[in-house]
Amino acid sequence: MFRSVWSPHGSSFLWNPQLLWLNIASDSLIAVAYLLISVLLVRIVRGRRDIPFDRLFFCFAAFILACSATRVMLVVTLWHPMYWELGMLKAVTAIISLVALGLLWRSVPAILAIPIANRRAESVLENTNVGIFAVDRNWVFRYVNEDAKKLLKDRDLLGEDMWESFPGMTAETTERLQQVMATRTPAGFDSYYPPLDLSTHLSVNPWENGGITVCFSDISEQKRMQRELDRERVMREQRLEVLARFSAGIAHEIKNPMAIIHARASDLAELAAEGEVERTEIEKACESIVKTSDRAMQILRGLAALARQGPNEPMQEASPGAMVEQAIELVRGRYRAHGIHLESTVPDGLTPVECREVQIGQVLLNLLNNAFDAIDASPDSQRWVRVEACEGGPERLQIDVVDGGPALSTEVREHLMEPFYTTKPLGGGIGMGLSVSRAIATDHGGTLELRDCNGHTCFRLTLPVHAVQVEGVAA
Amino acid sequence: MRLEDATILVVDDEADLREIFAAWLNRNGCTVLTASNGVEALSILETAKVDVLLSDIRMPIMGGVELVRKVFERKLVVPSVIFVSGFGDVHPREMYGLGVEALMEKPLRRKDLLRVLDDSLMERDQLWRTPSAEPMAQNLTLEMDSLSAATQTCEFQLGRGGCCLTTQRALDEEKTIDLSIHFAQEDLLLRAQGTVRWYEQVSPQAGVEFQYLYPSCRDWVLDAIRERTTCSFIPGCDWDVSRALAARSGALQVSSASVREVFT
Repeated sequence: MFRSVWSPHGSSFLWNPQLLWLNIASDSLIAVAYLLISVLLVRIVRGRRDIPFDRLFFCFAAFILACSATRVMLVVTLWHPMYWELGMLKAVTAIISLVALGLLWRSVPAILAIPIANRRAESVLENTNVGIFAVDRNWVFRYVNEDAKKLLKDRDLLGEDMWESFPGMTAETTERLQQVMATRTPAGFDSYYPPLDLSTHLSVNPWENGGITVCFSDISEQKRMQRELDRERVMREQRLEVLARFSAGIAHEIKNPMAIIHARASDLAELAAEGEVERTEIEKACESIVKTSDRAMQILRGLAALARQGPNEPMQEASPGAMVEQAIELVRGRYRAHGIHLESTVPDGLTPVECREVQIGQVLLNLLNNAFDAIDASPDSQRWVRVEACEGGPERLQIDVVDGGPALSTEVREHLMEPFYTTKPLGGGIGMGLSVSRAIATDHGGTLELRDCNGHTCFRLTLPVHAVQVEGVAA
Repeated sequence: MRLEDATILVVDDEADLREIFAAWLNRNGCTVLTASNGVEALSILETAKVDVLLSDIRMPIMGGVELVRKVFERKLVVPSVIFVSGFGDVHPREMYGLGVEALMEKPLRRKDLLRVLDDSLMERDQLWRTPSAEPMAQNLTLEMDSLSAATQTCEFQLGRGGCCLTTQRALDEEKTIDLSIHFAQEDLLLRAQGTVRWYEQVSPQAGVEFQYLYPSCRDWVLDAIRERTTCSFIPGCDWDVSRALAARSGALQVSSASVREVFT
């Protein structure tokens, strides 16, 4: 209806063909570009469901589409004066643009927040104390966080092949990783990487496109502490074992006198119950009881001396002669009863040593008990044990315990001081407690060595005359 | 045999104990011989007829275990061996296997010693005639193919005082047991009351000392025991004397692992 009133827009260009074509070409191209842009926007939003602000995107698409339509209308109005239609189209475009503006306005804070959130996730990944890396299905590193780089000794691994970068991975770890890659089932396990002496706990999960992610934490320290604890436990058990063995020995020493006293007394009681007991009978029995109880008392006195000091006593000066004598006193009865000759050589004037006397006494006692067992266990033994003390170099005391038992085999010599190593079949054995004895010697800054002395076994204890501070486990 | 007719060899390194034991036994009219260690005892055993060997375990020069081992090896005739010890340092399987029939703990009373000696001197025929008044703590019924095969394969063996048998069932040591074993091929049934002296899960075998034999099986069991040449009180079956000997005498040269195989 308006066509008759207005002239086409082309007349404003005086129908100049160049001007007309310039406008037509430009507007058409803009229209096509607008159309395609809006189509692509819709496709992007449809394809990526995880993109936020989809309404905003749709609105922009509609706005650009409206702009495209406006451009088309501008070309049409060159020949047809459809200015109302053009105006209405512009109005629609304006409304859509206002809606888009509103949506954009509202979304500004959220949009501004997007890069900040990503940075946070990244910074969390980089500050976990946990190494994280991801490899694709071809075992090529696709992501490595800072902690992983640090734990794996600062290597730039991106794009590298995992197996080539880390040769020497244990068979078990290799197998577990391959398993996750193949089965797509998450797994968690402890692993040790020998080249870097690194103990880790790995948490392996399937990742996109057939790859896997690996989170790992350094547990070397825990492992080390565990080993330390195990070592302490072994030492504790050994100490208990030594104590048990010592107690058993003492029990045996006491039981024989008790058996004699018991037999004498019960016999007297029985005889008395039956009738008259001869005076000489009573005298003889009582004499035996007194003599035997004295023997038991002597053993108990030795024990009491041992009990006076604890293992945490400070180091004090002690006379080597007295220590040797005390240890010998505790075993003398047993040696004599078994026909084993016990000899000690302690020169006068040996410098007193700063030590825990009771602990050194324990070591000597243990060595004497072992020598006794070695001789008693083998019929081919020469029945003697020698304890020889002397100055073993400047400021050092040396005590040798040599026995006439058979020479030790190389295998036994190698393992004798190891925890748990024992050579005797039942009821406690030779070698038991040697590791504890050695620990005591080490605690004192000294040594306990197994030596060969003219084909006989010799344990040599050396101690510094002056106490030294040694870090270690006190026995 | 009655106690007063018996010759008893007392072996102990404690002179006082030797003297007391001898006095006790003399009072009962026994003939008593004494030795202070295994070597002395062996030389006596080689010349004199001894009915009971009463020995300490821990002694100088040669201990009790070594002594009975030598007796066992040399096949010396010692009808019964009793250990007296203050220390249970010998494994029951080894001890009974070597022919020891009782372990008495120090200190001990005269009447207990006499009771054990009386029992050991009594004919097994007599000893196994009285059933226990108490109910048995456990019972075991086994079915075996043949007595001769079982004896050869060590599945079952008779000794002077009991038997060793193979069973998967864990038995309580030092508890009474009612035993019933049927040997299909010979169609023989062993029915006995006794005490489980040792049980080893690894083998898995048990040693049972008889206390009573049911009349139905008494004849064949006693015959079978008489036929046997072993002097084991309760056989140790696969327990190997030579291996154990090697392990003990070479105690310094072997690690405990191989020995435990034998003893545990």
